[in-house]
Amino acid sequence: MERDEKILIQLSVSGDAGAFRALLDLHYMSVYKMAFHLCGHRENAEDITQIACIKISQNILNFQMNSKFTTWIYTIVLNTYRDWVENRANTGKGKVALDDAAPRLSNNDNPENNAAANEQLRQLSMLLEEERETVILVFAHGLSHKEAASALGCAESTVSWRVHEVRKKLSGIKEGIKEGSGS
Amino acid sequence: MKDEELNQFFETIDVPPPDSERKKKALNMAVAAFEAQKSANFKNNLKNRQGSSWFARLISQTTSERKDTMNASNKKYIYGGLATACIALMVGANYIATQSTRSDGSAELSQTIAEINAQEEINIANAEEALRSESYAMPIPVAPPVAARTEVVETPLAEESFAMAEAPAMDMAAPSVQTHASKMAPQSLVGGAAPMASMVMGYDGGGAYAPQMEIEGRDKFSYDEENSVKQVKAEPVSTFSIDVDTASYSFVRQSLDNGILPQKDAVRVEEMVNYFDYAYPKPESKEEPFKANVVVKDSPWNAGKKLMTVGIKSFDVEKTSAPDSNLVFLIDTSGSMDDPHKLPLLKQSFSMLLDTLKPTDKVSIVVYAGAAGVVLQPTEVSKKNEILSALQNLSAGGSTAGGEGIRLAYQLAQQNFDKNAVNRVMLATDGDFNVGITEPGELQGFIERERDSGIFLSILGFGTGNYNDALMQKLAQNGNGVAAYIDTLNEARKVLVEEAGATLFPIAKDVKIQVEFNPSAVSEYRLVGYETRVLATEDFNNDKVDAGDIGAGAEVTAVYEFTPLGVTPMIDESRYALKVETKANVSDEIAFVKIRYKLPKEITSKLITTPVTSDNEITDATVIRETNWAEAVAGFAQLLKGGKFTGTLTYDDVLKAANANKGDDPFGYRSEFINLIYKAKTAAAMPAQGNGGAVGEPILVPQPMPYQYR
Repeated sequence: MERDEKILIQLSVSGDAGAFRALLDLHYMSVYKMAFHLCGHRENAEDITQIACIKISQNILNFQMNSKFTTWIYTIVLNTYRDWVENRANTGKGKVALDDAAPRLSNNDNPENNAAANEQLRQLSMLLEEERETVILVFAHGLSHKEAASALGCAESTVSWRVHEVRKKLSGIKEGIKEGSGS
Repeated sequence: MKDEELNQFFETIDVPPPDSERKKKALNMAVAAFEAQKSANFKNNLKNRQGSSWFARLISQTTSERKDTMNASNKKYIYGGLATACIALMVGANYIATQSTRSDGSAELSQTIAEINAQEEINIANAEEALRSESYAMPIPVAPPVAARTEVVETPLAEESFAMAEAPAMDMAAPSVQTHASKMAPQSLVGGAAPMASMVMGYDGGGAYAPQMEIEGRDKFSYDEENSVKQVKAEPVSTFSIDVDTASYSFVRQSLDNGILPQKDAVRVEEMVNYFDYAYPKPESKEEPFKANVVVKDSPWNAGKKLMTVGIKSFDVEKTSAPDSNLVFLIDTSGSMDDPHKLPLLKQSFSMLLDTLKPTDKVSIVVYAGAAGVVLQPTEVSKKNEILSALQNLSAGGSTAGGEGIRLAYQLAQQNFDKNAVNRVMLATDGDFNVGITEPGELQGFIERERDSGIFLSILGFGTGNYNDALMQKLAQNGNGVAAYIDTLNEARKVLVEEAGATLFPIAKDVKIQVEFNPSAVSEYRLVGYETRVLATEDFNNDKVDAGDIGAGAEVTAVYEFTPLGVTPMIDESRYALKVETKANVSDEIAFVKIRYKLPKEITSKLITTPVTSDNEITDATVIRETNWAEAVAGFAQLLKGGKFTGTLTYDDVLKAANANKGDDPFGYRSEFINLIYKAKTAAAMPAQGNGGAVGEPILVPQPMPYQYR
């Protein structure tokens, strides 16, 4: 599987459109998943995914075989997401607060089934933007602190610090919930 | 909160499944953007190529691989590369001087150089290290493992065949310099006849400027004069063997994708025409395996002339009734296969082919590099994982003992021979054989003998730069097989999955076509293409003469251009020959088409005949459309060959005809062809690739090299 992927990447870098399509197909789900984690909304996630796919296609020819492909892809998704948030803030409804990019719960297809998920998306939305990006990369997509740091464009120690902060915050939220439901 | 909890936190988020239509749209847009990017990069290259600084002008790129302009730090590698090349050459030269036994030709030489480089790698490594900056890294370290090769020799047909596949992988730890040096040296020396080695610094796509030898333009094609116009009075009969190969089309496509007109000899009209599927009416039964459609219409190339298109459709085998297969994959793992377009693509292609086989079919794998070895003993396709892992473990390195490999592959096929099955060796290679039986005649004789014992040979060509088209053609033709050229994943799918029937299961063999023109209706004619397949008139009825095979569901199309009586012919009437009144008893016949074939297991041929009259001018719309398409492709191919016989035909005319007759085109092959016409139009404005010449302007670096080693 991994070897297959490597072959596909090599072929894509050398300009094989068929291989490139297969490669994107392979990664579409994880790109979409990450976009969804970041924006918490299906259609927006699909928009972001689409833009990210095009960005990938415009840059794959310059991809360096010695770097890790998934990290490279996640960096693109992350940047796409950031641009998208900025774009919306600039064009759409004037100035929009940061948490507008956060989950828009009412739009989910089946709110009842997604209750648990929504709860977690809500918790995520309570984090700072950069913290959210960091934990999504590290925990939802399995990047190491170092890889996440290169994707986020910050120091590795910053990533570790943010992870630490998020741990504290989420534990706090959780306890808050427990207390709330208990009393 | 612990790490596991956080992991779980995300796992429990229920991500709604994405819309599949949106996905398709996103992928389509991305692929379109990818293509656009590719051509944008390509245009940039052209600009760069015409740079005004002396350095820029000296560099010729292997087309689309260049992405950046050079900066000072990159130049370092180039100078470094030159220095390394010189060291490698000197090392090689010393070695030659001391090895008097190895003196039979440049091919041997390349092997010896590869070996010596492996031994001398440390010397080079020191020099190399100094030149290499910290950021410079080899993209794919694949080493030609000398040790592994010897191991292969010692244990041919050993049971623990996996060990061999793994051995090269272990050797990959060897310094990357080894690959680097051996990659350069043999190539410069192989061109032994020339006093200079043309050298080019390429951008290797892996992110660094790697000094490498110019490899483009070493593709070998045989030169065949285009079939010319024949006078019916002098030569009323035309005979040829069918050709189902498609290699030429893929090669032309690759060349045009790089923005270069292909070498004229690389274009074979019949292979381009036969690349496409045609919706000719199907034959009813396996007993009469073909149906011939003859269509006569006005020639789009020359006013007044007419085209006679002979389309043959063979009987298609149901997937369930397909015969068993005993396949031996013979895979070239020599150093030159270390390229994303070669070994990796080959692995993907074969794993795709596995999906089309039945679980009871048997597959074995033989590799050859410096020596040949069995990597996988015959294994049933039901144990797919075993086959796949053997395939995946292959790595490239060493020189090319193709002849040895062929022997071993046939031996294996023979062991497992099943007279009710299709026994076939599938050779995958990027080019020439330089060790073992290297004499094409000897190899050909060997393959012919094996063919008569029931083992056929198919050839899949990969990569450019070293492709020996002439040899591949010859071998496949004599081995009752198909020669296909695979340059992309899509092409692999076409050849090995969609057309698996045609590639694997022969319906008839030794299919010959003979056309006799009626002198009272036709003054002269010309067979378009099939130059390499022309037979003597007497060969038609001689069952001993080998000819092309046709696989299940395949279509073969041949086009004749003829001049009806009354239209000014190209050849003048003879002034002195006696004017003999031609009295034809069948005056309304234009020509008489005869097809001879043998069923796969028979030795006597059968005959199908079709008289061609003016009635053949009217047929149903589908056949007309398909015929028009074939003629558009034939026109295009002839333009690429120089347009000697196509009058005023232009690329735009072809474009119009192609667009009008595209039909359903479910797999997009015809659309791709239309794109090719655009590319050819652009490329035509640029200098063509000369025969055996290099792309662009390679710099010629004088090298201290003897003229010939013979």
